Amino acid sequence: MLTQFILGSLILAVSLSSQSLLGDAAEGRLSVRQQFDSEVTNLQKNLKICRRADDYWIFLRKAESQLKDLRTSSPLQVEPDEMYMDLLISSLKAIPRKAGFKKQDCDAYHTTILAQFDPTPSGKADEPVAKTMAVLDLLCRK
Amino acid sequence: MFRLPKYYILIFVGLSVLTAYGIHRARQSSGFFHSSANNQHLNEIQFSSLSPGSNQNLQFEEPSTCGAERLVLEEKLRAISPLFRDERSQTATEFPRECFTFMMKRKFQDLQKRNQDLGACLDSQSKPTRGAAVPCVTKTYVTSIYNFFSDVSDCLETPQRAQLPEIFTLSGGHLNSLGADLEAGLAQLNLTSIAVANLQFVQTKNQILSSEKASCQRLAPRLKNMVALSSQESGRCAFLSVPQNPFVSILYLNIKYLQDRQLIREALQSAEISTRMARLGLAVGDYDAANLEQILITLARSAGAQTSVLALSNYLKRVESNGKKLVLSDFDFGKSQAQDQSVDLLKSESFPGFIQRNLQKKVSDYLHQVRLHADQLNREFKEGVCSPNSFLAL
Repeated sequence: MLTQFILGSLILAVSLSSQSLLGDAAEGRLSVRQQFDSEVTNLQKNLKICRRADDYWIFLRKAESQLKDLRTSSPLQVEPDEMYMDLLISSLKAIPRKAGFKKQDCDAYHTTILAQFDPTPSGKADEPVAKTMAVLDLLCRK
Repeated sequence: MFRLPKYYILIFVGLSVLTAYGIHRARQSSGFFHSSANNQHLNEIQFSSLSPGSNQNLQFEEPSTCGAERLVLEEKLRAISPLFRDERSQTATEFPRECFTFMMKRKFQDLQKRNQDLGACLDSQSKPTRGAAVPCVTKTYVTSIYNFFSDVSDCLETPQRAQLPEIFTLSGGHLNSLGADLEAGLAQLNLTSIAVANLQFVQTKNQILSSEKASCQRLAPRLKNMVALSSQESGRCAFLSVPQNPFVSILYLNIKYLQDRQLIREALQSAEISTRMARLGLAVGDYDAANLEQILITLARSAGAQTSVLALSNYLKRVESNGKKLVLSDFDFGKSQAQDQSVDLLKSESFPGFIQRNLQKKVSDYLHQVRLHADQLNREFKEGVCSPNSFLAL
């Protein structure tokens, strides 16, 4: 229990420090889209090593709010990037939150998000929805 | 001066009120009245726009002329109740049966060859094999599809004509159509679409079983013991086989239509599309909101409902940033899109052009194809007979 708590706190601390990386990025070292992708990659990393159930939702909420802040603080991007980022934010938002999330319904969540955002015949989403599906898979595995 | 006695006026007013009430009740109470008027309207359309016998594509094929290979489905259709297989004297369909006859005969022109876009199934549990013969477009074949389509769409209150150009594009209405990615049957739904329609299956089933509408009650016995169908690859034949079809394919097509429409309505509202369009010069009264909804529903098949509205939202963002005003022709999918991507042209780019550049090519190609098929229906019949007016345009 104590180990889990310490591990969880460590992960949270590492995650929060990643904000400074994004701060660097915002200064112009990375494009808005790269910052976006790096935020989602961080989220995936955090979900992989996360131990406490409550933390999954903290990480997801935090990532979403950072993505949103990034959107509102950035000027209009080139069209494909605008579409990419809007799709990513909207599809992440379609993942049910803690109160309504039931592991046994994961197949339905998967199907619904795929159908609404990227209904490929293969059943495998392309980018950026593939990133959302990866986040969903991690939440469902926990 | 000539003056009428007061009671004359009172009698006149009283009689007028009674007559108006009588007419109102007659219109309101009689479903039959509506149906037969509808039928008469369809007949008028048929005889005003077509001269019977003049177009081979509107004539049924005679089973005796087709050969055994092309009559495989015909044999199996005998297991369907005459209620659906036989021509009805009354129908709630908004379009004439000839729309289906035409689509089915036009889709596959070479009748002598087996076609790779058509499949065959031993039964509903087997795996489909490609390269089947084009089914014989007989009166029974067309009528069965027409009657099921009529009842399902009437029961679930989905628009009828709006679905025809897509059916024409995808399968031509043929029950054994098999797409490149194993999209099966008349509706050509892929595995994801079937899985998502399944989420609404029980609710739709209960809606049909509890409805008092005549169309729903005709469908109820077929639906009573039906369960949601597999969305796995192994379940493809359930959407190709007869006599399970045409009912299954048409039911799933309509469930999916309603799901997409609902999602699109919610997304349009949350993205404040109508307010933003009004700011850009197109207020709701300037265009038919149902036409915009239909564009997005058609787009949803290959892009997803949420992505469709996101694409529109991003298009508006671009128009806003260019300081441009919207015009109706910005939403016309019938116009071919300029390939020139010079800055000036991009500034005045239409929504179809924007989709072409920002979504996958197959998405924009699909919309253009559907519109071309709608145009083909409009050339053969009058506009508004088989396809809605201003389809895939505002």
